[in-house]
Amino acid sequence: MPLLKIDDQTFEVPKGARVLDEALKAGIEIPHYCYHPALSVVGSCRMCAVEIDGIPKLQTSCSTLVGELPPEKKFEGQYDMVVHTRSDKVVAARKSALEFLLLNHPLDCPVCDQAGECLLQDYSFKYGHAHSRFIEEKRVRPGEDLGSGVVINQNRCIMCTRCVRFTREITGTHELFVENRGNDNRIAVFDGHPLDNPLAGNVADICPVGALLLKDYMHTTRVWLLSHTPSTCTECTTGCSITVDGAKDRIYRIISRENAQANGHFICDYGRYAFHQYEDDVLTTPQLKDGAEWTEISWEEAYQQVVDRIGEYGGQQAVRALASPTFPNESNYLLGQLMNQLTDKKSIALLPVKQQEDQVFPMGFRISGDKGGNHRGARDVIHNLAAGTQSFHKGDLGVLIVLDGDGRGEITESIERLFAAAPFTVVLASNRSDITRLADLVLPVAGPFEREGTVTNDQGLVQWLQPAVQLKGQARPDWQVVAELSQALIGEGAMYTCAGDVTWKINQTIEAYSQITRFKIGKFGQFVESAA
Amino acid sequence: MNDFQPILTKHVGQPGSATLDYYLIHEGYQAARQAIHEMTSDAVIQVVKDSGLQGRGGAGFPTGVKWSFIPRNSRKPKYLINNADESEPGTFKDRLLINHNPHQVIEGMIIASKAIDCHLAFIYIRGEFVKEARLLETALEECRANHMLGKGIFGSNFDLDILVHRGAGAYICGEETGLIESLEGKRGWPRIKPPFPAIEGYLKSPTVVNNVETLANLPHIILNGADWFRAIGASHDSPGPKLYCLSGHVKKPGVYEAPSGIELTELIYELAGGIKDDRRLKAVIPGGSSSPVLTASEIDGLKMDYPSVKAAGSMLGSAGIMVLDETTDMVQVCYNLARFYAHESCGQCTPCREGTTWLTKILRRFTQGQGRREDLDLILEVTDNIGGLIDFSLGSYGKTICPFGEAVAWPVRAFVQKFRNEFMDYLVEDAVA
Repeated sequence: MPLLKIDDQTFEVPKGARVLDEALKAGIEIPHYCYHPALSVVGSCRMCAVEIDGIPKLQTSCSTLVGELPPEKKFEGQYDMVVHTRSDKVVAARKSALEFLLLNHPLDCPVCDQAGECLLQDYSFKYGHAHSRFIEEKRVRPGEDLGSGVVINQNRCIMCTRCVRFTREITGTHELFVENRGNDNRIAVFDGHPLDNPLAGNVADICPVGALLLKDYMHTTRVWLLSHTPSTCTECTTGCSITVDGAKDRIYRIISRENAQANGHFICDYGRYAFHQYEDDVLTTPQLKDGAEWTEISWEEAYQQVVDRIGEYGGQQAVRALASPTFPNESNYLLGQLMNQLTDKKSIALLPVKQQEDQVFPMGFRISGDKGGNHRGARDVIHNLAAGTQSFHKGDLGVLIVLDGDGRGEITESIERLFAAAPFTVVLASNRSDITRLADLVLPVAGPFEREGTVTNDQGLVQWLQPAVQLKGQARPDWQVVAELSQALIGEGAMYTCAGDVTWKINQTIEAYSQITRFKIGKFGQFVESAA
Repeated sequence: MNDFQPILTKHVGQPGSATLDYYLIHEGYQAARQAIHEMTSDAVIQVVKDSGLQGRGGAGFPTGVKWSFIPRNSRKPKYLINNADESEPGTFKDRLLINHNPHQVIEGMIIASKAIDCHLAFIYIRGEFVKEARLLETALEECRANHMLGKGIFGSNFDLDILVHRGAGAYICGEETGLIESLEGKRGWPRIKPPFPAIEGYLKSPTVVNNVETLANLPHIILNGADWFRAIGASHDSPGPKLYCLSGHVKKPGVYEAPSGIELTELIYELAGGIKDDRRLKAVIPGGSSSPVLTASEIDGLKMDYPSVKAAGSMLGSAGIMVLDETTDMVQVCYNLARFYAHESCGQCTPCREGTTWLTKILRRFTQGQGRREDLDLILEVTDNIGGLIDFSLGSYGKTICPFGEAVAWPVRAFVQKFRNEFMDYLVEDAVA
């Protein structure tokens, strides 16, 4: 293995290792703009230039690969490459590259959304000139709407072409290109062919400066006011790692969180903007249907209602339940446990979800057609899961307990029949939906970005859902409501004090999850035992 | 010099010199036949290496050595590209060769193809050369009709076809990787090297890019041998016949063929008839617009071959010699040159995209009488930041992907350093005083 020396550190690296990657891995900062690990290497921004022994010209570390030298040619008798990232020449080159990049830049950080997370700002501060020597007139160009909710501020663009390469290499849709030549270069779309693909929002994420912006997020907040919560998207079974940027009870944006095991570097626009779906019709108190009217009741009254109705409509054996394909494993698991104790039949089935076609992109990014983000997890953690609801109609059908599908549950004919036949229906949901409208009692629980617990994607990767915003009104965590319901019905459930307790219980009782712990899941998830 | 007979331009001006019939009765395609039938690829490479032929496009890299970088056992197809983009200002030699003797160039391509085992070659010709492109098409058609191109050329089992590809008129498409990108149908943005074209060029396959004039030399080297070629010219290290393009303030501008290493003064005063209106010489740009300007005193005894011009602090480049007399306003020349490069910068990498336009804006201010004293040092620093510190003994320290950055930095730098007093005349405070 070649021996690489960067500044005063030495690394054994595989042949063909990229100098920039190795430096970044070791925590040595080499500033860079055009390089992105998911995209082809162009070496055009010139920021990552480093000095390499034996080569008179500075080399871009993004395009320099480490090879192996014959013994007699090794540097200092042992190194295959000796790289300097802080030499005078390198410092001067960075300074000049930044000076060039800022010549025509409007320096409008105070009104720029990127400020605070801008590589141009950060690198200028660290490596740049404090004053501009440019006294000529700046190049000023109007902004444009590129389509798919993405706008460009041409004046802030530094022509790194990450976005162009993204639409060529990742989506294969080729909407973006570089127009004109030299100093007139600009990112553009062809007439009548706007940016139009379900991954488009990523171009704003990968833009290192404030040039590409999402209309949805633009001018809504400042990035330093946001808390960044690492979590998981449950909008489909791909289960992308995301960062939810919010403050108090509001989400401002969702961005991709790199995870090689799940989504790689990107997320889709459905997931990116999904949080808006849960902003309206939020349920904040338990509500009981009284004829055509809804009456707000307390949690105690609500649980008592369930107990009373079960007694009224055929007792425990007549209770049936629908688990959620989108709720975390924890609440689904508890509901499954409850149903198995209440009845001796297969009394719990999954709420169906409308299936669509998978969308697969050239470099492998996949938007799953299964919109039940935790479909696999719900199946994994519920014992005695019924394949469908047909059997529910046999004998007495009493109280129906439903975990909502976050707007993605499909009201099929058989589901409609089930709701119609059940004399009393309890729905646990975060927002009013087609399903809550069919309910007799609605219990407000945490929404997708307020939930805590585990979800399992279709590859068997278990990831953690981290609440990003506060619960609204009297809403309670989904696992807690099921636990309290269990306590009221069978006297079990009070021992769970947090979602993690339930995760541990799943670990103890579900064979495939015996390796799944909060600790092992970490930031990037843990795969379930492959079910033999 | 007196006994030198033109070799490459021998038939220029002869009626019908562009036709196959004419070429065939003047030893045409004998060298190609010989290379195809009697020589191995290695033998062709060896004789060209021995001849000392250097690439005539501008860099002066030894042609045989360049060919030897092509991996012999690669299973990928190998490509030869004839660079007929001739985009360097002040250069018009390739155009002459194509116009008057296209078959000489094609024959050179056949020999080069044999050397690198290429079976599909391209002529990348600049878009403005409409007539020349048609001439080449006609000449190639003549060759195909006579089994000199196509399947089994000259009755051998060697297949070769040559296609003409017209560029769209960008300076940067004369840079070999920019050219390859353009040939692939993409934007002419130069590639980062390595990998070099010899390993991954056109369609990621081994590729050699040779200049028109370089290729035109090949038939003569094959026919007459390496020693004959080495003996031509003043320098053993930089031999051969050379085309010099004289333009600017000379009495008889044009292309002159002379032995490599001819003295610049001889070219200007004897071949080109001296300075226009017998004015005094101020400066010479010796190798196309990207070569640093030389003052009248610097050209005394200067031999026009690659090493000698390099030693004088400039470069032979494409041998586009632009002669500037005493009436020339060097600030205007420098501004014009910078403006050209700003216009032609491809814009891919930062220093060139931003720096060329910055230089142009500063220089424009000078021409408008708004120059500041500190701007002169600023210009020098900006050129450093684009083209790197220039020390010809150590090579360059360019900071851009391709040599374009150096092509603008060097000449601008030279103008400001060598004609600083003329720039001072344009300073705003002097105008006020």
